[in-house]
Amino acid sequence: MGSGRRILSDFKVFSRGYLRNKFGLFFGLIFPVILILIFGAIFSGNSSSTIDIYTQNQDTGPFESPQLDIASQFLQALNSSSTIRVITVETSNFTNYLAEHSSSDGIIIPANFSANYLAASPINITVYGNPTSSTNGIIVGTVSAVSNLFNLQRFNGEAVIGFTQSTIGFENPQYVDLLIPGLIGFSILVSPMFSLVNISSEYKKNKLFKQLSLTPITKMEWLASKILWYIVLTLASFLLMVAVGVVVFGAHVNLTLGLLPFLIIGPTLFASLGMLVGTVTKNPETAGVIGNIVTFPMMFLAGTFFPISIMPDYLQNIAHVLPLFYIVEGLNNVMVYGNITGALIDIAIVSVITVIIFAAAVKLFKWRED
Amino acid sequence: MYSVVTEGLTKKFNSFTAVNHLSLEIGEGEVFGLLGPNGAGKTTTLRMLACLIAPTEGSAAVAGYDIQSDPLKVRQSVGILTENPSLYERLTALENMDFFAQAYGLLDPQERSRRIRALLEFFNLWDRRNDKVATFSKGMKQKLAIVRATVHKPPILFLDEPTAGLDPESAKEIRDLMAALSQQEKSTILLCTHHLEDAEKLCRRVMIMNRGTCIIVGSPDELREKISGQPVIQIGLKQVNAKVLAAVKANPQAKEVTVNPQEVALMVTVDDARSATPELVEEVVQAKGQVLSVNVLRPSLEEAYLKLIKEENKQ
Ligand SMILES: Nc1ncnc2c1ncn2[C@@H]1O[C@H](COP(=O)(O)OP(=O)(O)OP(=O)(O)O)[C@@H](O)[C@H]1O
Ligand SMILES: [Mg+2]
Repeated sequence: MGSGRRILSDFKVFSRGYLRNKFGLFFGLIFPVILILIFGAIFSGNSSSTIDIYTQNQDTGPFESPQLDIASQFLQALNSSSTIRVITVETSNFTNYLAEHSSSDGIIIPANFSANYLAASPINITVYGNPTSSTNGIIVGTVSAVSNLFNLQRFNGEAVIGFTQSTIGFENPQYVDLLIPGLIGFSILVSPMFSLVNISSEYKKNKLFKQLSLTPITKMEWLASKILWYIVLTLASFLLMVAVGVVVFGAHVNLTLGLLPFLIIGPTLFASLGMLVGTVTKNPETAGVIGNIVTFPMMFLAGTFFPISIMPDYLQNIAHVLPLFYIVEGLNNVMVYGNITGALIDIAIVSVITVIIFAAAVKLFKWRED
Repeated sequence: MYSVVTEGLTKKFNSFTAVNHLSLEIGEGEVFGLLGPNGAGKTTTLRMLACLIAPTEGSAAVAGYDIQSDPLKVRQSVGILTENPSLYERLTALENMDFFAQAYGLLDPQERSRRIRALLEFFNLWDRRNDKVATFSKGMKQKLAIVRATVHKPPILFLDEPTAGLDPESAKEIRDLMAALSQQEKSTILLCTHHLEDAEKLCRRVMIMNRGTCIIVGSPDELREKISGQPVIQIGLKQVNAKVLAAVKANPQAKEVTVNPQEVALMVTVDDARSATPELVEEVVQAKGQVLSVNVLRPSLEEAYLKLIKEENKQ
């Protein structure tokens, strides 16, 4: 139809201009890759912080006195190792629970743990984890050390407590694994925001919008062609970043179709937001300032450079109101954890925000003023 | 049928009236000039007719479509040259023209490139087609903007000061283009200009406006005559002497006779140059005056315009 054709010709003219502007190209494609290289190199060593581990305590006692509650003592001992921190959970399906909480590490303390320990019958603790990950090694090592300690204390070296390892299908993520979705989020945010804020206020100033309004092209068509362009740019940037992450840092990423909704809705959201900021501001200078106020907190607090779990609580709370957070979290859920339920929630939140921002942009965006 | 009709067209910006009950009619294929001092309301009138702004009062139809109820149809029928060229600076001249031509619905690539090429060649810009517009001079951008306004062969053209800022040669190119468009493509042209020469050479009728209202409308000849009346016959002589002067003054057709400062020409104001000129020349010759040249001078449109605006502003 005529509309599609007009979108296409506007798309062509816009992408040409964009590609000719070295600055935009640098920010859209090259800069995120540089960030991956820098941050990846800085943090590629193992972190020395405590590892959180979900634990299900199925022990059935006896619990008459704390001395007889051996399972609790065992978990306390694990905690005091300071390499791992036990988080006890109640659930009927432990492996599902782990997946839902984006973790591959877990421990199950079996029923009759205390009774068998006291009766010197063999005990089997289950340790879940991905054997190739570094955290798994730490957990296994810690559990076996504490088990040995307990065996020694009670039975003079006679092994009562043993454990089997159980493999879960994904690796506990390395920093670079989380960095790639984070920086894809970064580029989904930054390239449309910085250039569209600028372009829309610039076009307004030099009357290009007025000129376009004289042609049969409509506002919607113009906006659609911009969104289309940023989706294309995001896909290109995505492939580039994944390639660099995998080749340079051996990152592990799940490349599935589940990524596409994020790679399409994300640019739609921020292209609309960029237009909105450029539209509601009077001149390019204020547009730039407002654009930065909107962009910068998201750039750093939405889990782009660091997982938000390392941030203090109040910053985590702020992160939860930033739309980009849900895009980054969703990308993480799809690419790293395979947590589809989580990803669906994220995409639902992002979609709602996008619809609102897009509608506002279309409504407030004027081709021209009187 | 009229291409443009307005009735009581009025635009107020807050309490300021930029265009005040303007009524005009432009026939199909006519080149119509809109003259007037800065701030007279020319651009505002054009913007209303192009559906860029809504009138406060009154109505107008362009190509038979009402500007209020049928803006899309109006826009499809007109090509507009706005005050600013507003082009994609980072793209080349050809890319710009190709995009706008497509946007205006010129879909056939061959027809499009033929049309663009013809127009760019007309303005001697074909050699620069692959240069970025950012590197173009003001006048070159202006020409591109005119190419854009005409590329889709609109039946009606609104041109806001097309020759502003152009050198005399380029201004002539644009005049030639306007003449060609009006003659060959039968385009109707509404031309806002400060170059009275343009108006005089191109326009069948002009309107002079001031402070948002129409002062006078008519053909350039009519305006000249209405405003500053009678023609002057200039008789160039080897020397002016008393005998010649007396002979001319004696002729009943000579309303006023003056001698130019170098004393080599007589300036005779008459009612009707056609009947007075042969009589006067004959009398000069009989009085042994040696005639070198005879010219009938009419006040230029510019003189007429200046006189009119001066009178207007005195009121
Ligand atoms: N958007 C606007 N807001 C307020 N006043 C305006 C606006 N546009 C035009 N005017 C006023 O309307 C009057 C007519 O302006 P217009 O641009 O139509 O004049 P013009 O005849 O085109 O003048 P010029 O020869 O300088 O181009 C001016 O006094 C101008 O200040
Ligand atoms: Mg003007």
